[in-house]
Amino acid sequence: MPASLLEEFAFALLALLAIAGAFGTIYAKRVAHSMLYLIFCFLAVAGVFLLTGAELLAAIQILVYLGSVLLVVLFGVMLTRRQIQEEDFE
Amino acid sequence: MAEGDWLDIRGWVEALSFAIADNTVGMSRFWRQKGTTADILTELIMAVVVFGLIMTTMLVLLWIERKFFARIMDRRGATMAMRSLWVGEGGEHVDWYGLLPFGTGAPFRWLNRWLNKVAGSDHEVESVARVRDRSYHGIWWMLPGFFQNIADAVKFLTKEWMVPTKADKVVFEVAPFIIISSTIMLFAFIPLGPHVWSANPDLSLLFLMAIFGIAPLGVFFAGWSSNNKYTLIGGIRSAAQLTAYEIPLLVTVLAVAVLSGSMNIIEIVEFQMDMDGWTLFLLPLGAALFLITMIAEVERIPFDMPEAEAELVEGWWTEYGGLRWGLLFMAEYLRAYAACLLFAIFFLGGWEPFGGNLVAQYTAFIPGIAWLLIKSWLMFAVFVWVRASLHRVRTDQILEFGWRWLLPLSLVNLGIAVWLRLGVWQGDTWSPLVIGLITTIAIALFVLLAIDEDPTALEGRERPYSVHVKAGPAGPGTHKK
Repeated sequence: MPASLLEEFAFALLALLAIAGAFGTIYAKRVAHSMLYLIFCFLAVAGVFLLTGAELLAAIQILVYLGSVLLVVLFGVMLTRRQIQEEDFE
Repeated sequence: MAEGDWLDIRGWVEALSFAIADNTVGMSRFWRQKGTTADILTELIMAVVVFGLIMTTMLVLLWIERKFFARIMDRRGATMAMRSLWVGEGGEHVDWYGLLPFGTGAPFRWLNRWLNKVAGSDHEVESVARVRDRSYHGIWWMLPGFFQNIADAVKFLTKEWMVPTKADKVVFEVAPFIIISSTIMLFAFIPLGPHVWSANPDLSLLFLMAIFGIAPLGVFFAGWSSNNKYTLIGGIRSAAQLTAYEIPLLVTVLAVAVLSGSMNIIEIVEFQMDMDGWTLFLLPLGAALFLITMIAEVERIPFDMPEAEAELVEGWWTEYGGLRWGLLFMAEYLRAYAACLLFAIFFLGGWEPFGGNLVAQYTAFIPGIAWLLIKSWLMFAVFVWVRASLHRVRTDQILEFGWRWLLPLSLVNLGIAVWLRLGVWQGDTWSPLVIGLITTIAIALFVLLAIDEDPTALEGRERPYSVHVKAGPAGPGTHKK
């Protein structure tokens, strides 16, 4: 398999992951679920950056955005009403 | 000496994979890329080699934790380890083979007698027998503690995997994946020697720190999805802790990169080897900050609030059991191992031998990986020492400590690094005056700060929450009195 074909295959996979993650972020019912999707979306975008050779951008993407996602989900869990403890998931 | 040592594992693997590619490529008409095949083979084999090296040498970490910690805290069980099978506690062992029917336990009795004769506690000098009863038999009789790891692994493997009924099942399963995979990914970027590494991008330092920060996410999701108030508190504490130490850690690492003039880990080590001085002597403040923030990053005892087994049952991994728990625990130790390796690489000269260029020609037969591993194991002994000595901080304390002390000090450290690089660096070496001056100032400050304790505590030697028990030192048989 030529390297370029491998790269295209990887790009397709990562792009699909990023799109799926973005849709999941929107349509997830729970804050934490949507943040988990957002993490996968960001990781996939970092992978796309890596494929294009922008290594610095990929590292910064993981370093900055994933830490901030954690804070966002932290406030999301802390400041929103939450039925955990009382009822089942699904 | 940037050329490295004789243990050229990467070179051998490259030669091997090119030989394999030479002999196999071309068998099919779809498979003609010789260079690509050899590259992929090299990377695969190097990844396996590095992973295997890390996993096997990690056993030493668990052993240091058990033995050293047990020595410091005077715990009998862990110091006895394997030998307790035949020596028993205080000279008495469980006579389980006597319960077997028809005398089938006789071989075990013979074995037990023989083992006690060869490796027992009896010695004509009483003090020697006492020391032996605490399982100190010199280096060889301390080694059997390794088998405890295998026993633990078998225990984890045979346990049932249970998911709480009210847990968020998907996230509950995904969170260990995030933690364990990001932890193992760390070792892709940590070089174990000049020729023993798995990946070496130009920005390996940045990638490493980026991946180091992923695991707290997994910790948070693990705590959240367990649907248990203790795990949730543990997960939120992990996130709160992250805000306190992550920025000082990154700024400290940035100072190391500024001083070395590179964001590549191998070049950072080569910088220290070329200038023949460890960064520890140039940035002692940075070393202290890195040690503190790294202990917070790997969540070991002074900063293990997410786990906090005294308050929150077992913190965020309360609901995990069996093999998942074992793997998470392994990931915890792997992160501690990565922290030790990074401290050795950034501040202790990596694979430079002790003594630097003075002894380099005499120690050339020792591969660099041996020096790096010895340094990182010593660092882990320091971690264990810290764990045995200090108590856990509170959430507000670590936040205050992180924002009011660690962050300004790390900025000062960055300023020092910039000044050293731009104002003092002479191109290929440091004047010995600089290293001597900085080290003297650091030692003087350390002594001043170490002496400056709470005077009342020093006078009374009273710990506020301790229970004053009149107990002598523990020894063989003291539990019976």
